[in-house]
Amino acid sequence: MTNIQSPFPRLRLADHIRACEVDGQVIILDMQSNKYIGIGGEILSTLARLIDDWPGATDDVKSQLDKTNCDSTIASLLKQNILVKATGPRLAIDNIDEPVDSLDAEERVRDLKFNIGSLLRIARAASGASLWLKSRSLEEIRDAVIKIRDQYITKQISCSPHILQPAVASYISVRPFVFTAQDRCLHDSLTLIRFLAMDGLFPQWVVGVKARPFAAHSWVQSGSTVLNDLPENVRHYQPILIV
Amino acid sequence: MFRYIAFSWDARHSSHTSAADRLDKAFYPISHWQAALRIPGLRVYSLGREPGVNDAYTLPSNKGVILGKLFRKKGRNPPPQRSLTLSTQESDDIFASQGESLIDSFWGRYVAFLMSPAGEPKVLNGPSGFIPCYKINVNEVTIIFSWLEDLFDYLSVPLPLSANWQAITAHMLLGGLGGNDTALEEIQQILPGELSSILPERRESNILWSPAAIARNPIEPDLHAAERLLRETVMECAQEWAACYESILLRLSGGVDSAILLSSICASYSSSRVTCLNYYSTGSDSDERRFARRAAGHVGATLIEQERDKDYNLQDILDAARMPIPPNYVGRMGSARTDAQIAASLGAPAMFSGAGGDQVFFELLCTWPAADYLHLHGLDRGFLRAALDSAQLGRVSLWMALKKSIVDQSYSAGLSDGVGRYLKLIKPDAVEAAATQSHRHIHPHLRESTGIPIGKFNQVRWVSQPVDYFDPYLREAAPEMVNPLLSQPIIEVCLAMPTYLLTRGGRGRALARNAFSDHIPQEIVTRRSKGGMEEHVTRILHRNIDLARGLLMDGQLASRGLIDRKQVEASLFGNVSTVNAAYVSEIHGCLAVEAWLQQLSSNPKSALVSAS
Repeated sequence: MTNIQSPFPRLRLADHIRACEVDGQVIILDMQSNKYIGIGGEILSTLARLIDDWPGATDDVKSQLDKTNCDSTIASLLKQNILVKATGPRLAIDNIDEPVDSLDAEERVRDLKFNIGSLLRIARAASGASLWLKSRSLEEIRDAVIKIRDQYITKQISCSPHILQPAVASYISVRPFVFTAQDRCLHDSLTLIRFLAMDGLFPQWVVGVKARPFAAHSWVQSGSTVLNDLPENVRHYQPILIV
Repeated sequence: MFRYIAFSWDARHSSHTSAADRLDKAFYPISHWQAALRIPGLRVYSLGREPGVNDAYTLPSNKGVILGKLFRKKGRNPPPQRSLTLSTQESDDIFASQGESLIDSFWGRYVAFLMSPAGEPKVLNGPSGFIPCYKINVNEVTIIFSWLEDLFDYLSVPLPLSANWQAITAHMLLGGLGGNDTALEEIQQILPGELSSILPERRESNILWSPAAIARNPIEPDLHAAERLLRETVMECAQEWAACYESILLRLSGGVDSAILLSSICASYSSSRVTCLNYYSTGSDSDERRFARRAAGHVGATLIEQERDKDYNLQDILDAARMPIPPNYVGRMGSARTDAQIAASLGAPAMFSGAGGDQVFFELLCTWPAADYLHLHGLDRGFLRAALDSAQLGRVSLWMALKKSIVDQSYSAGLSDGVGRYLKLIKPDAVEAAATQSHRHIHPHLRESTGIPIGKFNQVRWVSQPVDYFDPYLREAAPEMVNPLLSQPIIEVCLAMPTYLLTRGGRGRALARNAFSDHIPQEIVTRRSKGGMEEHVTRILHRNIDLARGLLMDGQLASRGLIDRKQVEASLFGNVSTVNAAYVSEIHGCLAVEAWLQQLSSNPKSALVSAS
């Protein structure tokens, strides 16, 4: 294996950073500044050798070629607080199953009567989600989502599809009275997370990205079942943040 | 492979008759073509006739002949029967009405050659448009045909053909050509529902069947009656088609439409007559086997699960049969050859598919049904319900649905709205030039679609998209394609019912789902996800990237300035794994057109000699 001489100490991604490889690029999500950065090219394999948890594979030949560019990139990433010294372990990152199924809760909606309780709950959940998006960074939102579980932990029940389906159907039935979900995936997902938490249901909140062209998308998933989107839609996106 | 060819000329001129005689020699009596009608001024031949499947229905006294398959419309027929004989009264009515009673009383897959009371020959393409119908003038004779290769194989006269570049560009923009122009200057197409004079130099034609006219006269039964009407119509059509074949191969995707088709057929026939075929490839949108198994198991039908051919060689597209309009190979990649092999091994002459379900049953993320309601009923008690359903369907708030319905109900259809917006490879000036002429390539009934609300107008547009009958790659080896959901009675029922009825409850295909909820597995009734081939299509492109590069960088589309070489370079060179996914469909579309051009140019018989 070829040794790479680097002027930097061993580095890793900062705890508020998420990264994934997609279509030959590495997309970095800075959850504090709510920014995405894309890095591509032959430099990636060098970075993979020098940085712990850097997504993607190493390549000895390319590593040797890109050292000069690599140093300036690393310097830039350090300056932006995206990289830190690898003095301690990074926080564990959640995994997620491959999305295969959709919940298809819409079928149940037509059998539901209008429920004022559900309407009030979704209004509360939606206003909370709106407030988050207006005033918090993604990192803070992530922490808030984790805290929601603590808040409703006594109510926690299994997230099996037959329990999720009526709950999500209830959500869908009243959602049109409160907000538009189309093209507002992040708001919809956070609202659904908050709504389901009130029933003790804690599926996963996911943010995914794709490149060429770049796009980000958010959805809610439980196991391999997508709750508020379709598997064939979300499969285009590589998960970058899983809560 | 069933097809036909006809010659029409002015019998008053002996030189025209001589010209027709010279062409006729190839077909009568020495070849294996069967004469369907031979009278002064008109000769009609067919090939591949099969009693009960594709027939010739002759009108008495040489008044005409109908080629293909006819069924009597509901209420006029005993239980599905394979053969049909026109009564004298029916024949007289068809002649007297010049085809209108044929459309009103029958449906199926047909092309009709009719003599007018004045002795002028005409051709009527049936409303389904399943069998292609083209015409070309050659030496004072008009030739009507379904398969262009027959002209090259059998006619002894040269056929110089010119590329219609304006139409070719329109085809690339619109995804098809819906008007009378084809991609070849010399060849016109007779449209579904069109009755056209076929004497040389006569250009008279009438549209006898118009989806737009049906949409303009909506019916609004109550929900249960609507479900029953839809279910009975679909079942009748499916069973009539199934009665034509002893053995059927059915493309079972696992989606709602193919499941409905399968259950409709098996409601009357033993499931042993039907073998289901499901294709899968890696990628969650390409593997619906679980649903296909449920659908097949529900009726006890055999299911064959077949992986799509991921080694499909795009070189095959350079060997396609020549057609007047560039064919699209994407839907056939990785499966057409297997279809043919399996069909042959089973002795199944036909492949059934649920194609057309999205269009007729109305599956689209939109809020248009509320606008349609407002257009038809104004602000009454039912509007709020329609708006709420549309909000669910479009995933918007009720307030947004209300607002959009008010805006959309006065929508004025722009036929070229958004044309070319998402295309990257075709040069902007080519897009602009073609867009100004795009009205020529849209079915005439769409140009006269005033008074139809926006949702219904778009549904009319979808059902007007042509569906392939022939396979230009496998030719005679391919099984006969049968798409029962695009049968005339189903289209008529679904176009007559308002979109808010078709999507009652805020789901796409809601009426169809409810109508068949007791006939197909519940898991499929409620299914929203849809299979696709995007990953497979992308993979095929990656594997054939060198061929794609060669064709597009050095082909006629680039040399004519239709596609931007720099964009092609950016898309297809460098790291091939990063081909912009958004371009993949467009790349395949351009490849199909380029291959078509090369095929026509390189074959000496077709002699694509000049470009307009």
